[in-house]
Amino acid sequence: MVVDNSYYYFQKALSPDDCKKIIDLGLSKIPENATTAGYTSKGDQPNAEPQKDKTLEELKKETGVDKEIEKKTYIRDSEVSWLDDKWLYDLIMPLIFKANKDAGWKYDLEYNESFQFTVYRPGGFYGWHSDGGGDHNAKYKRYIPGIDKLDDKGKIPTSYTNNNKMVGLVRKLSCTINLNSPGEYMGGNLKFDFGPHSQNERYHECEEIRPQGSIVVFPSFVHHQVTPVTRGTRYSLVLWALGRPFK
Amino acid sequence: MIENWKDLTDEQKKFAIEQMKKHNIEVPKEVPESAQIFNSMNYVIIKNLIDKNMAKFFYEYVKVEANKLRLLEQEHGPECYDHNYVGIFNDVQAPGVFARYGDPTFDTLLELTRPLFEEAINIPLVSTYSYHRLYQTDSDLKRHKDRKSCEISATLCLGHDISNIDKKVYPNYNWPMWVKDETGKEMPISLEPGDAIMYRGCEVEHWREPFMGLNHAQVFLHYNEKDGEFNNIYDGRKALGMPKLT
Repeated sequence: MVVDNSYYYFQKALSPDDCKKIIDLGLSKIPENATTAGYTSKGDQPNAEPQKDKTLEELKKETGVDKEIEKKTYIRDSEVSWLDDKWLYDLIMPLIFKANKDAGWKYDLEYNESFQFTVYRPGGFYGWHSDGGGDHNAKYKRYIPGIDKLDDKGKIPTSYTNNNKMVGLVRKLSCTINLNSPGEYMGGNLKFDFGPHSQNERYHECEEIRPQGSIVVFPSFVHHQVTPVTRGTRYSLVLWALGRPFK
Repeated sequence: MIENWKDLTDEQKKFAIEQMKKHNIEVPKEVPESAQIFNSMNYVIIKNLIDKNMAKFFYEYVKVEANKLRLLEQEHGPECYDHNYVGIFNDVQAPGVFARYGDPTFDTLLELTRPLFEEAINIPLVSTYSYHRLYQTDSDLKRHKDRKSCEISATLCLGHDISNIDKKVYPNYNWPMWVKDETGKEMPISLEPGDAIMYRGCEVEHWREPFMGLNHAQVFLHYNEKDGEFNNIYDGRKALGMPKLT
């Protein structure tokens, strides 16, 4: 899907104090020794190589591995915690609604997931991915304990939810908030791939959110990555707004 | 009436009954212990109301129902079905768990078990409705008393999956329903599949704390006293198995 506005941003929407408060809160909830989060993360498979900012095609050429390259590499090296504080929703949701309107997406939004606080330490990255397809195949499925199995890590499989309000919904808008002040880290850029048929540039490094407290909102189907952090530690907050699948 | 009847030995009772029959005197009906407990406590535990194989069948049936509705909603959306006939996942008292009112199978059980309950508490009953739930991890049930159609209620344990519970930490975990009796005492009551608790639903406050296991199926069988204050046969429906009146 190609849209007129592929992303929408608000610079310095959060105060430095709010950013610090979020960082402190997020760090306090990161479990001890947690080094990775999500699927095909660092440590999931022994001897797996980091994808970093490479595409799977590039990795195939580079490594000579053709089959199941996903299982021999990992897409993510970061730590996460989940936040559900009301003041955060009060702060962020109006901006998401405004972006949804002003960017002309006007997606029907019904609900949102919890905030994901993420820490990218030096070398940390999140390779190319999209947050959701938006179609019926991407709907959250209802998880029924004892009927459905947990995954290998003992967690609810990613396409399932035990949150009644999320069942049947898809991720429609993604939101990333940069919590660091400029210069606290290098690398760690949010980079978009708008696809080969994009009207403007195909790739875009989202420098617009470098000022502390800046927010970018984009359709969840847009491919993106966080390039490897080369110095310092990057803190971010992510939220997904959900709605019925696109028709 | 023989005032000290309950103090007689079986031999003495046998002799007394023979004498009463001989002289055309109506033989007094013995009030079972369960009825005495129910009268004094407003609740009583009925062990082995149905056998364990039958309970297992119902437990599997409820899981099949829950899975069916989940898949139907996934494929076609929740608005595509008349939930009177397939159940719900948005029960107000226990959000997110599968529940169904008046399933024909459990309404049948409601009517079939009615004589057993009548005998247990020595009160004639009329069936009102059945309701069943598949509780799941973290489910709870808020403290509440029931509506009039639940004047005399039974909650029957069908089965559970607690395979996730660490038996070293919780060696005897069995998710209880709590009741508050007339003296204000709060009692946890755990049931095995096939066991039931009968209670005066409008009078006994009852609830469940968050569930730690994977899932737990329970059916509620509701009755009114026959010719009693409410006497709301079939909860106002024309027949058992019919949807709830709106």
